[in-house]
Amino acid sequence: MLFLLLTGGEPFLRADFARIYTELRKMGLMISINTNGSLLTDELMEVFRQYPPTRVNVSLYGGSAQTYRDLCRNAAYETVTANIRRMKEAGLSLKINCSVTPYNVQDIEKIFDFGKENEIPVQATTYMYPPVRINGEKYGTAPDRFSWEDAAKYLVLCREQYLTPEQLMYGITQTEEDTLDCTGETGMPMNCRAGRTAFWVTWDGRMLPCGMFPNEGYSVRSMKFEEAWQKVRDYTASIMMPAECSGCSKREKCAACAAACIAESGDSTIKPEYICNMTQRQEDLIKQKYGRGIRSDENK
Amino acid sequence: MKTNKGVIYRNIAGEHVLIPVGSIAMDKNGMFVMTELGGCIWQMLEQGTTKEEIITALLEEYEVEESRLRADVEDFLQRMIDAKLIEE
Ligand code: SF4
Ligand code: SF4
Repeated sequence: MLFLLLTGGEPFLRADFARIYTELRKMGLMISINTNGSLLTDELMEVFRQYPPTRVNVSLYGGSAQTYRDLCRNAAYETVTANIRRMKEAGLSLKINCSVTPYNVQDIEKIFDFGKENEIPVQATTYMYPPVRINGEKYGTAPDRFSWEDAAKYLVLCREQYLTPEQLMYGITQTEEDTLDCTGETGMPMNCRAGRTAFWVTWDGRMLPCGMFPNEGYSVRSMKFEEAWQKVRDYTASIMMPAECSGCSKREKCAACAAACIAESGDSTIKPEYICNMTQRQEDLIKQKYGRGIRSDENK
Repeated sequence: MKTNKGVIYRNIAGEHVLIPVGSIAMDKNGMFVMTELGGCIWQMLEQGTTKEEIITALLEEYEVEESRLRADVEDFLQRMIDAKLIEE
């Protein structure tokens, strides 16, 4: 194993986080950490100076103290931004993650501005996985997420913060790869890293292809680690994607993956309508806004 | 001459890989993949072998002229010293 992501919940909540992290790092793992950035202690900063993580991904829930008060019911904004600056000054490699929801959508520009001011890349998403595991068995519903129309609109707004019109247009142009092996008759197997070169272990010791799978998985406590890994690989190899997606020229740019299909419908072979509509709408919006200008440039 | 204690040597699927994990990782955030020869030299250095001993050992292992091997080893060591992966 070479790359490890430590995530939560909030990993810094653990009293023994520093020890776990240091021992793993000393084993020669490249470690990234997902944190909300509110619990960075002096002790932890010292650990990170001695053993710098490969990257710290900080979730920023808003771009103002007001949004933090409304959304997180606390005044953490000042603390979190101060901690981000502190880690940046220490020379740590950072990224800001932002899940855009109806509750913080007004802050998109502010969040990206904060990233630019501090020279930290921002990764924003407007798609929210249905929280199936938490929500019981309700596939396809996430009470707090955007309509697919708004998810597309605000994703374009996010991408406009760091891409030029040419880059936005390039992102929706078809490449040769998009049309390779597209039959549209049968589904394709999974082709991301999950369950092939990567696995996920939950807080209670269940191994899954990736953290977005709502399944039970295989307990590394009740079976050998290799056995769980083999079962995850076998399970991954058995998963088929929707037939429509295999014939779709947008599939390289679309967020429809096996985990998303399952979370949306409970079945990896059923096309996720929400994501499908979102992908199509995004493309339309970019074309409407930037398409003409660029096409006339090409005609010159 | 010794290896930087903040750098971990790992053999990953047959590749000789160095992973900076100590404070050196602040500047060198990533990993280094070494050649077979580099991997051998690193492992010997970790065991406290001197440069001359390394050259003698490698001459026994590889059929190569001493002058060429010496030049290769010195070049490797110098580059590792410049990258602060090895300390003089
Ligand atoms: S979900 Fe729709 S847009 Fe996405 S790959 Fe499948 S068919 Fe194409
Ligand atoms: S979320 Fe989807 S694309 Fe990402 S690792 Fe999981 S299955 Fe693969």
